[in-house]
Amino acid sequence: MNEPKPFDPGAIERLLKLGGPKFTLEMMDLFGSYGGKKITEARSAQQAGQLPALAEAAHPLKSSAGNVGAVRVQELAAQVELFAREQKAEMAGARLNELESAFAEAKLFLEAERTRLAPPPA
Amino acid sequence: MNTTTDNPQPSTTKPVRILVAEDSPLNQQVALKQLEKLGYAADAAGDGDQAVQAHARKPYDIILMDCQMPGISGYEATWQIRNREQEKAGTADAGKRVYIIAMTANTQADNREKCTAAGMDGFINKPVQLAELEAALLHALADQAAAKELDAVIDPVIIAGLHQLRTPGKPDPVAELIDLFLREAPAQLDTMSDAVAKNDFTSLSRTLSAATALKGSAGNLGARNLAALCDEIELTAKTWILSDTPPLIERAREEFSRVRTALERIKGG
Repeated sequence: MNEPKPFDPGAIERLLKLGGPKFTLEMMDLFGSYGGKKITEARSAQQAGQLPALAEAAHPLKSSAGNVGAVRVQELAAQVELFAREQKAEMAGARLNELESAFAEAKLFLEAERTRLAPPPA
Repeated sequence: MNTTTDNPQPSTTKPVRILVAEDSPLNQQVALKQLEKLGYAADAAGDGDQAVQAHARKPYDIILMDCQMPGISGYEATWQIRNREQEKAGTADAGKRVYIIAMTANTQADNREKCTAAGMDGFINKPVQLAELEAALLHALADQAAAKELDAVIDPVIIAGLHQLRTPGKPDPVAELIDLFLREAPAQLDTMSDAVAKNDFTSLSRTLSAATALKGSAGNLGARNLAALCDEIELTAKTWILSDTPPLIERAREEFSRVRTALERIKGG
């Protein structure tokens, strides 16, 4: 079976169509800062054994990731939230490890998109 | 790249007051931009508490409500807003009912039954897509237009007052009154038509008695126009010119048809 793609390039195109390049770059930056904050909160909650707080941190990452096309982040955030709500601490922790990697990967992908949209001055 | 040419925005803003309640700044910004693209200006609230406060300050037509927010959730915020609307119903301070569209992620903790139970009217999936948002807004506006039409036939303040008579564990008095009215009103209209057609010594009293009864029951349910028509029939009959009443009775029948549709909607919730 084919693995689902980690990114949906269509999402960036939708943002471009919606608000143009400046808006799209702002949303990509916002995903980096807000997503990073939520990942940090999720890790702190997981280390403290606070599963409700872990679920709450993972929840907004889902749709935020969906808006910039970070499909893998979206899926893993959903799984972290689900396991945390079901009190499955070990499963939630394992998915959180994957979520951190997927988020780092998503930032690299968005960085490449950023260069495409706003090439650095020569 | 030129943002104005590849991203045209509507030149005028539609006169609809919208609030976006969403804690994720990214989702909030995307929703505001989508609304702008569709020609709506909107305010934003970052959590449920802010949404409740914003609604107290400004009579919004539509609220796009995220279900899960830190502090007061979208469910709790909706519940508080509906409570306040209920408390103010029938007072000079009463506003119109805000249409609340839930933005749901379709998970166990975020389900539609819970949204309906909290008092939300519509749903939209997250991440929100432009076409889906437009459809939800058009649906909300159509619903509100229908409600406005209904308000022209039945006084909402009277219905709200009747709702407040409800006792826990007892049948809804509004539903009972509506059933009774819908059973009796056609017979009263028939009595008037029949009495006027016969034009005998009982015609006047039968017309008067049916018009008075229908005026009272219509007034009790806030059917202002129907009550006013019955009042006219009463006055005309009192002048002994029964020949002038058939057009009025015909108008009363037409109005009753609108009243019936409106009351059935109210009863259906």
